[in-house]
Amino acid sequence: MTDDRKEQVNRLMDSLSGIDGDLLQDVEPAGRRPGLSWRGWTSLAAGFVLLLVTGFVIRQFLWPGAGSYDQASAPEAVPPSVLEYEEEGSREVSGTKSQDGLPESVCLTEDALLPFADQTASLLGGGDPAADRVYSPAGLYQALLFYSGDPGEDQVDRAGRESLDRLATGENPGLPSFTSSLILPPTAADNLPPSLIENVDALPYQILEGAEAADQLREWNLPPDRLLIQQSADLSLGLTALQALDEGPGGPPYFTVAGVTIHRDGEDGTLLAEFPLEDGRLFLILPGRGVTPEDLLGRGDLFSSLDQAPGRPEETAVRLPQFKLADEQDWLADDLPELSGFGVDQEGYSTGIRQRMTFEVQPNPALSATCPATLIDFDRPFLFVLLDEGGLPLLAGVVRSPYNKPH
Amino acid sequence: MEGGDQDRVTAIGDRTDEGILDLYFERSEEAIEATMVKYGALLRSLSWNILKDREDVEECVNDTYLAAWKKIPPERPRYFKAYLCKIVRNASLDKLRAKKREKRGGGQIALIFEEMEELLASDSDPVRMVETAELSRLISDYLRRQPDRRRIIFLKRYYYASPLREIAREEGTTEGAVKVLLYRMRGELKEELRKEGYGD
Repeated sequence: MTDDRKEQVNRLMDSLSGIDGDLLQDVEPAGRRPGLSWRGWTSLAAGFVLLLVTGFVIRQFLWPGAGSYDQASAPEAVPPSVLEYEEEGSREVSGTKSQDGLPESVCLTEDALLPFADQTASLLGGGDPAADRVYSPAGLYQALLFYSGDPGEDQVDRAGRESLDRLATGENPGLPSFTSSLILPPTAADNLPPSLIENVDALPYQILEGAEAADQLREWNLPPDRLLIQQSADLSLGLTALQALDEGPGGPPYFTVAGVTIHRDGEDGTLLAEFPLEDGRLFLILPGRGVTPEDLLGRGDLFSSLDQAPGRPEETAVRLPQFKLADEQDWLADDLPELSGFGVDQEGYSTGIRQRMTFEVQPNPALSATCPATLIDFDRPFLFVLLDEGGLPLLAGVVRSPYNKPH
Repeated sequence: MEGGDQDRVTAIGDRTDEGILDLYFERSEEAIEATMVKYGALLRSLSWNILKDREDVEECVNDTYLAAWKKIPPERPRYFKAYLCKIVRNASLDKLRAKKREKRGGGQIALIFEEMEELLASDSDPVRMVETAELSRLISDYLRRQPDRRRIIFLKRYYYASPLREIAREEGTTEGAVKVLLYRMRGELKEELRKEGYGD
């Protein structure tokens, strides 16, 4: 676009700002409050069966090696960059670009996963301050393994190696809703580094090429030169509920879960609640009064702090809104490049990691028991983390629009 | 937020636009607070669609409150919501240009700029370009003649810079259908502008 045309487009955009005010009175931005949808109580019966053993199943897909990740090995200090990590006295530094634009040396290690999850989670603190968010750190990690080029033994640790090997078998049992695909546009086909092409063959991504890829990118309104890893998950998690109430027409349903392990931070009143799951661990983190989710995310230790919660654990009941989040983000188009050292723009194409995640928490068939006299009420914005039984960070996010407590 | 504070916020948020404007005229600092409660989320959302940067958004929104405080009085906008949106939208566009970051944010705002470029004549002549205010009037006239649904979809896309996917979801249709509708509207608007001497 020439400077003259740019100026004219700018003038058009400015002109729109000055349109008559009455034309705007009934118009709001689309998707202003995305993600949180309150289900009608009548649909609950159909939803009762949806206790997916999320951790187990995703783990089969993303991280099949049982016990391959040891939380105890996580470092205490968060490294300055998720892909800059000191290991055994040597320091692998990413961000040094080779001729093909990809980092020359990438260290994605078992121990790096937790800091990676911590730092990517801290990015949730940015963005639309009104939006609910959900993403998969493990999915991002796995996608970066792909983009890192040659996943040789000297660059990818055992956990990453096992992940790639198991994925290569195409095993994806029991979770048809979790899919991963690679969009390979024509502009990228002739410019990919050989190591990346080898990875294309090694991974069981659904691969879209040529016109099919172009059509898909067009449908998603993305540039035609985008080499894109697309990950989708639609997860529904059931929690055994004590009691369920409906706020009435238009109001949000909520439910009470007993036997929740709570840690209280004496300093700022933040609560860490661990919910009982058969396979995996679900944490909800309720910021103390005067503390925001953004404050907690800004500390950069969302995952690594889970097993270092202050205070003695106690068991209590928790009341939750029934929530469903939907989120979509191209991570390499936003903050991740600065964090990981991976750039978006390559020669002839640009890379992307697009995650489309939905996460729903709802009550399993309510037990006929009375509601406890005291309970913790998640009546303000909170964070959540879902780990598999081996500690793999499957999902994390923030619920910024919980229900308003009835008066 | 304690119960008392919550009640107070609710009361502030319940104010009508006229009530808020009265506060400005009284030079009550509660005017800003009431504006934030009632329109803060809307302004942040609009700015976010353009800038995709939390700090920039906060800066633009805060500048908007300050601008409103400075301008009211003597101004007393007839449509307070549109008045605030205009300020924050212009501030966000200015910041976007200043930072030369049109390609950020998943390319959404860059795409909107490209779509708007279609309204330009192929061989534009700046001499024949009308003034911005006149252009605003022409666009307003065009939108006023549109059915509500068309007007709303157009403004969601080009005023609020909303993603096509979200517009389609809220309108209960497909992205493709929204694209086609917007394409037609751009063509119609281009023709209208041409008749009025804008471009060819």
